[in-house]
Amino acid sequence: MKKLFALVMAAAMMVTLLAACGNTTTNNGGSANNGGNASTNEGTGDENTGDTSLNLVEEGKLIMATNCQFPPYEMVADGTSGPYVGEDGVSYEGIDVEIALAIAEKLGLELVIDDMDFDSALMAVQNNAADVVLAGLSYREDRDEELDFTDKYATGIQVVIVKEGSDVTMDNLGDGKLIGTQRGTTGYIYASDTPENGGYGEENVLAYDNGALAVQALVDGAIDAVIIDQGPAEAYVAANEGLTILPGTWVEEDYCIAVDEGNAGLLEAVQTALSELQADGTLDTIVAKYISAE
Amino acid sequence: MIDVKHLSKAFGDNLVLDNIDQHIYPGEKVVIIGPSGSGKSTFLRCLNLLETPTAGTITFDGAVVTDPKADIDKIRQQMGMVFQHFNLFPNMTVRKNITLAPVRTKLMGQAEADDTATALLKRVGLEEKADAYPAQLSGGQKQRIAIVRALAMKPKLMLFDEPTSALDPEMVGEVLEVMKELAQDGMTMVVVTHEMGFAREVGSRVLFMDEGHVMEEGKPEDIFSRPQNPRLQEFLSKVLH
Amino acid sequence: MDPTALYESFKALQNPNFFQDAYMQFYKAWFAEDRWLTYFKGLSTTLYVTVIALAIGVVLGVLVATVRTAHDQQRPGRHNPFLGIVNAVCRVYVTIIRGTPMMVQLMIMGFAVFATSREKTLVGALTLGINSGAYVAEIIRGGLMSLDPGQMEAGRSLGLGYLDTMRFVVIPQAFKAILPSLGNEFIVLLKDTSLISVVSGKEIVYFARAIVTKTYEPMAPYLITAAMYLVLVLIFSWLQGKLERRLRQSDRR
Repeated sequence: MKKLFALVMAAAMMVTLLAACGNTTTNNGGSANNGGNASTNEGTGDENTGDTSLNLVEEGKLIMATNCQFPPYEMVADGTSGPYVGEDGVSYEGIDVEIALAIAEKLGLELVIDDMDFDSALMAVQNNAADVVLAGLSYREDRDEELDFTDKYATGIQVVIVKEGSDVTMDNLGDGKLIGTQRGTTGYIYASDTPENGGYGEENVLAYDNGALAVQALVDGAIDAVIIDQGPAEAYVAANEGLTILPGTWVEEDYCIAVDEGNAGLLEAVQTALSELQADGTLDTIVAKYISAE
Repeated sequence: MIDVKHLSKAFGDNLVLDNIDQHIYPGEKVVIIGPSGSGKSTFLRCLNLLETPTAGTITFDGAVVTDPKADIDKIRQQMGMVFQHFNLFPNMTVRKNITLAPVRTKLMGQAEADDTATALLKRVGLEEKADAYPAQLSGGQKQRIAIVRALAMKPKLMLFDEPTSALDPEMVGEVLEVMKELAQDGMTMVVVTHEMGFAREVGSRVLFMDEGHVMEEGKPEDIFSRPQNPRLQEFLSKVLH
Repeated sequence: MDPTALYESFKALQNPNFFQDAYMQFYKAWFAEDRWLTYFKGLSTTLYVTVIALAIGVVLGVLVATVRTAHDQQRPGRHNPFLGIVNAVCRVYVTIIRGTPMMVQLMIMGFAVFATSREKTLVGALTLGINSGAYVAEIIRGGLMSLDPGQMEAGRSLGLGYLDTMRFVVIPQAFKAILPSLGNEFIVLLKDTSLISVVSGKEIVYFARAIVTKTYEPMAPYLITAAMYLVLVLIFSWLQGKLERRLRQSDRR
């Protein structure tokens, strides 16, 4: 019985895999170093390929995968008021959007932004559906196995939002409190880890598609706290009465740009452009535009 | 005209027709009687292959009906069929019901088919119903139209499957009247019916079927006046009294 | 009164009551920055996806239903082996689609089969169409099968071929019978388009979420979204009712 079940499952998955593989190979185009074979590159680091070509998905275009539900880093602009307007007439704005525009300009490429779920954005570069990820993406070692990261361009501070007058503190979050996070973010990954690894256990953490849904759940009393980046947290607290941010930071992380593992040429080009933007103060100007220094 | 050899039909394990041999000659009016479940309707429906025989061969005018390669549509065009429940097409007018098949099978053009329909409708006294829909007709009118619809294909043979069983008693007469006229015109007919009066008056040969066999056959006067088979005697005593 | 002026006057209040607060939320989700245009941008995608999915669904459904019905109505002893294979494929298709959730199908198509595609809205429409095809096929097949077999027999006994009988006798009658179910399937399809936001399709829900990230208040944008779907469904139901009444008239004349 067990064997039969295993066989059926295997057969079903084979069908799906075949379908998936068949497609990947046909769409691969010119670029060779793709997600599926990350295991062969594992641990060898960024500079092993020696390939200096940019290895783009589409010639002349820098395709950026992101999740535009993450203010102030990226969001959908009202009408066509954002600095970026896509072919489909959807406009985006935010820190990451403007940084990407600046980098693309330096590289002489046309920026194309693809908006999707956060975890899909990470997969998109591995699947060769996008060139770079700028999505308030924090550096993590396990992500480094699938993606290659630039130096940090911003510091992400995650904080905890609770209801005013709540008994929740930074120290008792692990005592059976129900915590909301955004699916696929480091907040979710850290918080849902086992207590031995510093998390609160999967059963105490809920993942929402976006921060707004998590905050709404908190307002409704469905959860006790929300772990989220500081920028959006302040905006949510301002918009929703009766919420407050716990003093202190929950975690501090480095926001980096990521490309597919092994795409050294593109990584280097993006890194160079980023460093230039950092040096000439463009980066600070962009950040200041969206986050008012208080 | 129709030659039936060793015809058997089973539905699953249920043998409905058991090795029947029959020959129907041109101009004959064969009336099939028998208790329900005797296989008489199945026999009739095998003749134009609405039921596929389990074994045996049926030949119509030299064409082997039961041959899988036979052009069954061509054969059916020459065998008219009238059903117990009329089976008129409710989505078409009476005229369209009648002319659809002759026109689609390229037997005649639309104009000729319309003329034929009008003539036939006049014959059964329903010419004013040409543009009505079946839902507006009585049962007797529907069955007369169904007969006209079959006749419009100019068939060599007409099959009737209990044509009056679904009718209210007062409408049975008008349908039988049409069938009698048809018989007088010399049409070859095979009729499954419970109307013993019709069998006696119109039939040139009567078949009594029971349990998948033709138990007795003969001229109507012999069958009804001097039945030999005890089953037939029992059957007649039930239906005639 | 000018909506903006009304909003400003409420905003100036120290303690807005429930209705004033609700109006302010609605204002921010609808009038502010001409955001109402954004919903209609999403609405056009929703309709576009629905139409594409419906076209795929109807074509697939008719094909599959035709194959399945033709196969089941073959004369015994005259089985066409090719039809047998196609029929088996159709059965597997219908079984898999009806046996798995729409959401999972979207994820498989969006993240596995078409992982490298960047036209996710189209992928979503395709998936919805393939999904809808299975249901349409069963609806059509049910309609064809439920028709009195005497109708098919009458057509065939007159010497009409299988296809002619289908075309003139069976299908017109079956169409009338399946119209309500087809209408329901269309409504389900219209509402299911909201699921394509899973694979980043840019329909109404996508833009509602985008507006929430600006206003930080989810209530109004999602209520507006619900209202837009409701209006669409009501309009369609009304049209469907009209069509059904017209078709039914031929029964009673």
